[in-house]
Amino acid sequence: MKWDQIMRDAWRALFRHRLRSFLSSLGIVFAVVAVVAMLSIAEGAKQEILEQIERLGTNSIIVRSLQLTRAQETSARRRLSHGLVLSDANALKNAIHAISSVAPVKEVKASLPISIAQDPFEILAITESYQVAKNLAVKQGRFVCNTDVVQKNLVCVLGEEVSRLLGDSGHLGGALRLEDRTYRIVGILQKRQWMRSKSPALAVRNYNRAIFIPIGTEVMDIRGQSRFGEISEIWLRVAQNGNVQACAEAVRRILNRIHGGVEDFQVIVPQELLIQAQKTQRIFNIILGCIAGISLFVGGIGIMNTMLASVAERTREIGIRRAIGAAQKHIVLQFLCEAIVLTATGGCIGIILGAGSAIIISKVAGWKTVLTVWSVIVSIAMAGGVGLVSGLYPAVKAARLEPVRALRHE
Amino acid sequence: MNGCEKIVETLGIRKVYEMGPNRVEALRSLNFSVHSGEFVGIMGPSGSGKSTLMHILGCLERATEGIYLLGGQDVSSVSDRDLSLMRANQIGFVFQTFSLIAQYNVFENVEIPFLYRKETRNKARRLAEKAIERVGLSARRHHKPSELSGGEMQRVAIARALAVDPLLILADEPTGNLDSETSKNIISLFQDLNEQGTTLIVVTHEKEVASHCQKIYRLLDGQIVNEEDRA
Repeated sequence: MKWDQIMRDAWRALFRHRLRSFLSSLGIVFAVVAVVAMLSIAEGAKQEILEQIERLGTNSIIVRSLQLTRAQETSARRRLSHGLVLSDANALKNAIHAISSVAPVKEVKASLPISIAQDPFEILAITESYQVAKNLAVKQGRFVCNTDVVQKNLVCVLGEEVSRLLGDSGHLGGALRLEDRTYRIVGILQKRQWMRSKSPALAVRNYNRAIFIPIGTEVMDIRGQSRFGEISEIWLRVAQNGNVQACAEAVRRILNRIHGGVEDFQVIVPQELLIQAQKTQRIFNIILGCIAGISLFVGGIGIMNTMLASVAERTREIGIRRAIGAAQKHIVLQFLCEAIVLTATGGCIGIILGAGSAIIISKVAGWKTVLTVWSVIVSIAMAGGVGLVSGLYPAVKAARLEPVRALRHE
Repeated sequence: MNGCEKIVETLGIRKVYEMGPNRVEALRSLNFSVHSGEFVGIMGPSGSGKSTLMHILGCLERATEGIYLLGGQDVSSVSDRDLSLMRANQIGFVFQTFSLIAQYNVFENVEIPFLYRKETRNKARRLAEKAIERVGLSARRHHKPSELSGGEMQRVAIARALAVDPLLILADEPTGNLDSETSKNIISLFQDLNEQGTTLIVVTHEKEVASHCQKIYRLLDGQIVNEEDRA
């Protein structure tokens, strides 16, 4: 058999009935468009979630303070809970040995210099361990150290963008006035990539727009704000050989005991979120698979119908080919090739349209979409597979025609 | 007779068609032989079994009973695949209705048998070109069947049969769809081929065609009723 000739014949046969071929491959085209577009959206969503979880750190545990109403606060105080406080961080560090570092964070509300006041930014009161916990790289100077915390040194470290926005006063050694205190700039961070998160649980701070000061030097004390829940967050890093799930359970248990069972905190485990995201992804994939399967099944019926019509109208040609030496396998191959060429072409058109749809969805809806080589291969293979399955019956039917009867066919 | 080697030999072949409750005996214990280089005619009225004999000789179907030797090889009970191989390598067909593939041009039609054989692409092209040249259609090699006359179409069919250098060429009413002048040309072409050594079996009911055969078998009700040697 000469494959190039068989493929050429397949193309010719399909091209001779181009409208019929086009219409019958539409089912496959739409199925592949749906598969490619949905796989691109799914892949985009998956990558986005994974990136965010990766940024949070899969060996991290985050304890966040929850906002309570005044009534809830009063009730909590009665049960001897003061919200998330610095001592909670120390208690966790002392109680769980698998935790390698603890980084408490306090979000500080303070008025800012005029030049950056219009932009959203954050003042974070932290300890030295926050740099390790969040993997912050210093471009110039140094980060806040334990001595600063102990001696309550009025120093600060600026995010790259804050430093830029402050202009001349944002350089190393410069001064930054927060409320009635003046902080000396001792460090400037390197610029970090930041992406807004759709999920609040996965929200990551934009450190380019953050000002870090030693915990305990913040102006909140001076302004006499409520002491309830003085700590906004505690970042815990589990040691390499530690079990994140077990540590998270221990954190929940210890904090529940300290807080007298008051649910004024939330424990976020990126690893759990990752598992949850994977589960959701699996469900999405199953639904996607079902939709693709149904579409391809319908498309396959269309192809089979076309191929049966083709066999019927080319019965005499089959007879001629059989008379001049074609074996049954040659006839099977000829019609199978036609079916596969038909569906693979539909698949290719579907991939192009699907990729286009993904780009349009990405632009219009603002969703991240990613077209992977894998999804292209899967689509082509699925389309080819449908061609193989739906073309097999007509091809075998054609091959089983008795040569003499086929030759007599008008 | 141009040679002495028996190319075709049937020994008591019968062909019975089961049509529901009815049995139709198309061939009845038929003994028949053709030697290499012969030009044999098979004649008979409609329903005499000419076409059935032609199909069995052409390995398009098997006899119900009896032995059929093609080139000395018993093909009475070979598989469908082997029958296909026989057709591809040893037999060339020429049909009354030309049986060309409409979407192919002359060259491609003549080249089709090579699709099912082992020749290289270049050799196949060369043999196809040579066959087209032999039937005098080189100038029309790129024309589609719809652009050819009946005689030209039959020439293409003959070229297709010739191209693979078969053991014998079977022609079923080759002039049935042609006018008398074109028929004469086709018969003349057959004669030329026979003179060059090609073995031909022609099924016909036209006396003009039969007059050129060296041997004529007359069939009636599935049996040979007359054998005329005109060599």
